[in-house]
Amino acid sequence: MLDIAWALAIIGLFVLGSFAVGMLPGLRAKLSYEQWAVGGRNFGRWLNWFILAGEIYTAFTFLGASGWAYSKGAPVLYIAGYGGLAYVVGYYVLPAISPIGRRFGLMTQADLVEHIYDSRVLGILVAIVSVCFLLPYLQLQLTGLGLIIEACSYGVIPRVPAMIIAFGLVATFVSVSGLKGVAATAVIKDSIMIIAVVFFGLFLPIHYFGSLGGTFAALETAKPGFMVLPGATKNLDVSWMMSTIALTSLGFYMWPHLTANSFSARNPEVLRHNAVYLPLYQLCMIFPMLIGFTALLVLVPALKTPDMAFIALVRHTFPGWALGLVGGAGALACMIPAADLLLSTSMVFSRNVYGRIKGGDIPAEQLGRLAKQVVIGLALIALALSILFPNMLVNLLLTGYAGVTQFFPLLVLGVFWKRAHKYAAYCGLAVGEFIVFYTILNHLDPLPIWGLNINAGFTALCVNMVVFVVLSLVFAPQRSISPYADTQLAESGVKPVAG
Amino acid sequence: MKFLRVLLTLIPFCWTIGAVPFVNRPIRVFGLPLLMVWIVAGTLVAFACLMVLYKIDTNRQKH
Repeated sequence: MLDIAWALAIIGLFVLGSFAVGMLPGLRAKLSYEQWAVGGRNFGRWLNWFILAGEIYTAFTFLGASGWAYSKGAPVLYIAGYGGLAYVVGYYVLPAISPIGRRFGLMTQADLVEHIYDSRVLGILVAIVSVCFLLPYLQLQLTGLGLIIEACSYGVIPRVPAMIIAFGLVATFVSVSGLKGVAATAVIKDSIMIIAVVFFGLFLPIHYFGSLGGTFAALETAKPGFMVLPGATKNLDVSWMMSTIALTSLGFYMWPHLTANSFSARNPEVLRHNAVYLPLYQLCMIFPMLIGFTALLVLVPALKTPDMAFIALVRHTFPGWALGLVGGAGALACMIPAADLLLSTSMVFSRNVYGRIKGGDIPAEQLGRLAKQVVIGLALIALALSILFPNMLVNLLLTGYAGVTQFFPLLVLGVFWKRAHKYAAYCGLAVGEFIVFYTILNHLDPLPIWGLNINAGFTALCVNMVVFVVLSLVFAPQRSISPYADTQLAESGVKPVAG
Repeated sequence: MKFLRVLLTLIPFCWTIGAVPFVNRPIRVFGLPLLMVWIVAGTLVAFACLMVLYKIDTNRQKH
């Protein structure tokens, strides 16, 4: 009984404490549309770090990394691998797009695409595709949250009420404080998260097997070959690992909410500086995996849901306070990324889908009011979907990462390559998304080609890239790229700044 | 300098993606699986390369 009380008290403290912190920026001052949506483009190193880093550690990492370690073995290591590479990509891409956003008042990824290609229709198309991938990702956070709170409260708070309460809080603080609220709460979430994963990730293997080496020695005896690809799977082999790391590292910054987050930076220097240090944060990815490996050796009988490995092992080993710590950290790991997703999806929907289809100049205040209403509406839709049809969006979720990565050619080449052309962008995107949906929905991921197992999204990206480049060259005489590109790149600081 | 920048950009990719076929072996270093140590080290390699890139770019901006 005391265990339950402790667990509930700690989870409640974290969740309500973060809510209070998230409300502060919006209550202290009336925020303009730009302050609400992109933090007034005034985030320095620390705040920018937390909104960029905060989106990495989500429910998926927390439950998924330990779950994959538990059920699949070596293939899980891709999660630890792609981050460092993603920041190398980000080191070039983010400082280039952020000044374009500042100069032309852009707030979303679809704004950026519309601006680069000077095409309203392409912007609307990208916006609709974004919403299709963001909404299921939002729902995933919500489902994860329900699972975590139910398990960590010893079943006292069932899934549905937990989701309703937590999402009510998230929608409220997002509509009041916007990105400033997300950043403020991300600071709390990341601190607690790091403490929790490092502590449990080192303590549990050492507690049971004396050392990390001891854990892996035991693992090798119990499951020979588990820590060599393809681990416990049939087809997640070396070629899968290589193509998957390539896909996820290129696709990471194609998530639409990360573009908006980069617009919040005070200057490109902030983004470059953070790209250097973010890989260190990525090292924390390894700890949930260590817990998953330990759980595999310790927990008898085997778990029905591998995603519960982390929580099940902590519950097996510790009293209530520890479960409260995991539950609190896990709940925040769902709520804060959900807050950012909610904000971005509502911005994309209100500005780029509604605003651009309607056309004409809509005053900023009106768009701001609309975006806040859409936040509440989207939260309700995500809740309804999670409760009533939990599996409806599962196909979109499976295709999520592969799907957003298809923006890579049109976005990155659009910024850096003068011959990028809008017709090439349409065709590349259409071909890429078609291959993604066709292969993944027909269970062809990984795609067996020439005896290799290639990540289906990566295959789609390669085809997309070829289509994009070839068609851009074909249409090259009619250059549609914005003539501002040169000055923007100079302003980003890659080239020497005049004066 | 351009060559150095390209090199610093490519090294992390060669390390974390290109080398996977060569490190996927049942060997343990410091008691830990080689593949895991390699992947984690890849993050540090990326950090080091980005650090040097950052220094180069910062210096260039000053001059």
